[in-house]
Amino acid sequence: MMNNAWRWLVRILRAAVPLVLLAGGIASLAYGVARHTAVVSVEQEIEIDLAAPPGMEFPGVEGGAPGFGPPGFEPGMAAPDFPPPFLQLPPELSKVKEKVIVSEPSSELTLIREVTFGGVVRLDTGVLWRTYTGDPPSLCPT
Amino acid sequence: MAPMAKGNSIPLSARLARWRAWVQGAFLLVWLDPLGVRLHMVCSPVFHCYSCPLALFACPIGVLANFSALHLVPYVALGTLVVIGVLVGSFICGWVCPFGFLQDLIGRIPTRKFELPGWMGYGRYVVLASLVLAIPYFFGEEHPLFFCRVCPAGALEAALPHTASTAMGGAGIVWPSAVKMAVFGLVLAAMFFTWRPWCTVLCPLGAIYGLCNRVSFLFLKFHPARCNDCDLCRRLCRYHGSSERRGDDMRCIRCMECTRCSAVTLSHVFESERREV
Repeated sequence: MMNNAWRWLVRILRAAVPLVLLAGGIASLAYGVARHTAVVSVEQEIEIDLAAPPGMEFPGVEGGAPGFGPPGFEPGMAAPDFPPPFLQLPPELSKVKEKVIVSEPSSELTLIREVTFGGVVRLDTGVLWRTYTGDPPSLCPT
Repeated sequence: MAPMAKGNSIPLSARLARWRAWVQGAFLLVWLDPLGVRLHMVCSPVFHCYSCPLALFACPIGVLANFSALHLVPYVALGTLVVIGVLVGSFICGWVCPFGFLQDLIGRIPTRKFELPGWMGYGRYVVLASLVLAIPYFFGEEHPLFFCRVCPAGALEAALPHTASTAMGGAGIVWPSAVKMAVFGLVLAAMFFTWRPWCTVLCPLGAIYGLCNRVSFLFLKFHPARCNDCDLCRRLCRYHGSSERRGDDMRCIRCMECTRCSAVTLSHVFESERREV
């Protein structure tokens, strides 16, 4: 009985290094899959609507004090158009496209997929930068 | 007739070794993405370029190099390599790797084979430390010696098919990098005159698995008590692994040919010590 136990202990000790390494490998794999992220920045084109959102009105028209609102407005009158017609933009100018930099965390699995086609690079500033917008490239640059 | 080690009979491991080419062929079908599902967020344990039109998984060495360039720790790639390496060591090289299979096939062409000196095996660690880790880390992926820019597997599996497809599609041909093609040409030529030149001299993945040979659960064990200096194990070894008569040699690809000699057996850590004294 003691002999058997001793034999098993020796076997486990012999396997200690591989077991520790295996546990480390599994832990690394699990951490990489489940938790590890990195912030990746990308330039995106967004559309900004310059038209006043619906429901906006001159400040103070709802029973506000005299002096607020457009010229000639008295408290109790129907709310005037906002902004006044001469300040309203024509529809073709009411929306503009702007390029903005968006930073968001990417999981390691996403990063692995992205490096396979050169989708992420590191800039000199240390920022991780996504090299494409829209459809990813099909091949890596090398 | 060559002398044999005492009590020699063909063990199971040696009988399995005869099926190695079939096992390699079967794994090749797996790596070539037969179902068309590209799982490029997962690292494979083998050397197979992810830009190959048929690659199922991501290449672990490509991921290591790219993550080094991004200054990120590649937990998934490291975890994959450590788990596989600790379980089976360089069995992956001998039985699973498609680039190793290609070298084995070309090596069967009957030409005179030269044995490379053992110290050249350290070239793999130089490649791993410099081209895969240091150069990407300090100079980024634009450097001409960034590993993927010189990788012969990338040249064969990705650059050449891509060039061919653009040429056949009538689009302008984008020629692969000259350095990459030169490295591929040299490695290809060497395959005719030595067994597995890439694996034994330059492969960074083989370097990692070679290190794991020292600690893996499965290992090849040399029994000095059974040896009668017949030299059979050395003559059976094409890859300079058992020439030192140590089953956990870092250059061994565990093809198991040497287990035809009874002085070398396939073993595991729960069964026996790595070395007999």
